[in-house]
Amino acid sequence: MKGIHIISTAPFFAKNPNGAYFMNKFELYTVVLSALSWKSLGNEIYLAADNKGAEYIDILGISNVWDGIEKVIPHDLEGINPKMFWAAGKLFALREIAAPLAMIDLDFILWKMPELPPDRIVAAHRENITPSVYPEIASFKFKRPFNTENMNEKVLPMNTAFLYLPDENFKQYYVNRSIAFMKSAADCGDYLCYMVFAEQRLLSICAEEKKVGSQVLMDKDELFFPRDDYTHIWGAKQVLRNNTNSLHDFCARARERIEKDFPAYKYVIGKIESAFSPF
Amino acid sequence: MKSLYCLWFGNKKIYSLDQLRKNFDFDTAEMYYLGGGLSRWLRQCGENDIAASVEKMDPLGNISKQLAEIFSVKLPKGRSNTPSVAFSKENSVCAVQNNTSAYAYPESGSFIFENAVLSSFNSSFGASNHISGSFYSETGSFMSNRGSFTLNSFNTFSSSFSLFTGSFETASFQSLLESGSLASSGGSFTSGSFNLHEYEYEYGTSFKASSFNFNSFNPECFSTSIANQKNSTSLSENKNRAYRAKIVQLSPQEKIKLNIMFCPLNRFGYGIDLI
Repeated sequence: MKGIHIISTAPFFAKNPNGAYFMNKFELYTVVLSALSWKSLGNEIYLAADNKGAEYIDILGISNVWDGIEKVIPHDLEGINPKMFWAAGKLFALREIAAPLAMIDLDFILWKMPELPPDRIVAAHRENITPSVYPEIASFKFKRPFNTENMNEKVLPMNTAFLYLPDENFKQYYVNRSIAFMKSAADCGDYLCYMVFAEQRLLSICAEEKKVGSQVLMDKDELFFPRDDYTHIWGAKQVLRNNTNSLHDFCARARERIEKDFPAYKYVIGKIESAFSPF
Repeated sequence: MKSLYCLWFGNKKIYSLDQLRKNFDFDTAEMYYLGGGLSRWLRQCGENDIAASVEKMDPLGNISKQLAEIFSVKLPKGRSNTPSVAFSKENSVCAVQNNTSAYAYPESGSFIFENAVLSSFNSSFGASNHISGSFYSETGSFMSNRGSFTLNSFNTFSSSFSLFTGSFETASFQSLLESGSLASSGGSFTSGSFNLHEYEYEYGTSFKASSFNFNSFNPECFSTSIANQKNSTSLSENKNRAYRAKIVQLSPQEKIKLNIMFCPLNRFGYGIDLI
């Protein structure tokens, strides 16, 4: 199966207009493990990026982790507000790269191959409709008309840390609708509800509307039970950013894992470490 | 890596310009135009001239009218799709402010707590009122439908972790735990470094002090399981089954506890112990 990772630098530069793009060390180790583990399960992995994202990976010297790099994400996100729609790059990547495919978040690792049926989409897990995250659809504000009539508000959103889309027709419908939503939304400074609606809730709504079957990797009520199949760094990223000891410990474990399970890619450790070396 | 696709108007799949004109629907056509899929589809159909016209459309103009002209379809009376100046950043209102959310959005873009439980938690650690707004989803650590996180429960957890010194947690994780994880390292979860781009940060596992009966949960019983879990890739199938059997017997709360004992970071994500 063709997997894709996505790097869109627009949100970074929206916050750091004069900065040089970078990823944290733990993020690099995680995405490397994500790519190598996916490949070890008999799959291909590509990196979909904008020019600066691709350049960053190239300069780091770790491009060979992926089977190819596709510069398919517009650097300006076609005018979409990158602060409000920080994951818009994922939708553009999905628009450009043909189905069937599996989109894998940079902080999501599959240690086991899931079942990927030819006629059903597969996402990481369902999410409950919590009003503070998923408000009533009627509450969204638009700067241009966007039709939300007949949207089924009852279908549960799907978390897209992992998203398998087997059919190009449905994929195009979903991503075009999502991008249209992002381009139509009022620029109101909401950094959460609009984005997760565009990416996660709209996915479920579109699937239900088009009668496309869906399934998930994990039961949403058992995410935090002991597991041996998937890793999602998720909110722990903030801990790793803020706590040096945790960061060092995590990176040490990631290095060990690379050395043990993917010895052919041991060189990646040196590349990543040297990028963070002061000398 | 591109591939062919159809447009989807209602329940009809559209494969040709003829079909498109017969089934034309402005909402869907505008959606495919804004999404970027319309001109690509036209080129795929060999309709390059029309595709070029679509690509030349003014996105800031009335796209309904432009599409009607390009596809020679009748524009319904009053139909217009033009960006409104009424929703500029200054005068628009966030959806979240209209509902019952416990948050307000100050100009700085950071969240302000208005929830009593969270405020209480926050003040317990002497943090500022400007806090991350984290963990308020249904799976959120602090506010959840399984119960709110409280200081007592946190202390209980700290105690339980200390039982596991030397098993899985490394010195740094111990340090994280002993310092009160959530308030460690410059206030971590209450620091101003909260990245609003991180939807993931809103999530984490939830705890309820009364749910966890530590007297009935003997961590030592699972020390072997934890060690096995850490080396799960090398476990024999029989041992794996035995491990799973033990896990199955646990209550949901105990499973969550055990999971966090594998790695404290599992509280904010999942399967992090597998690395």
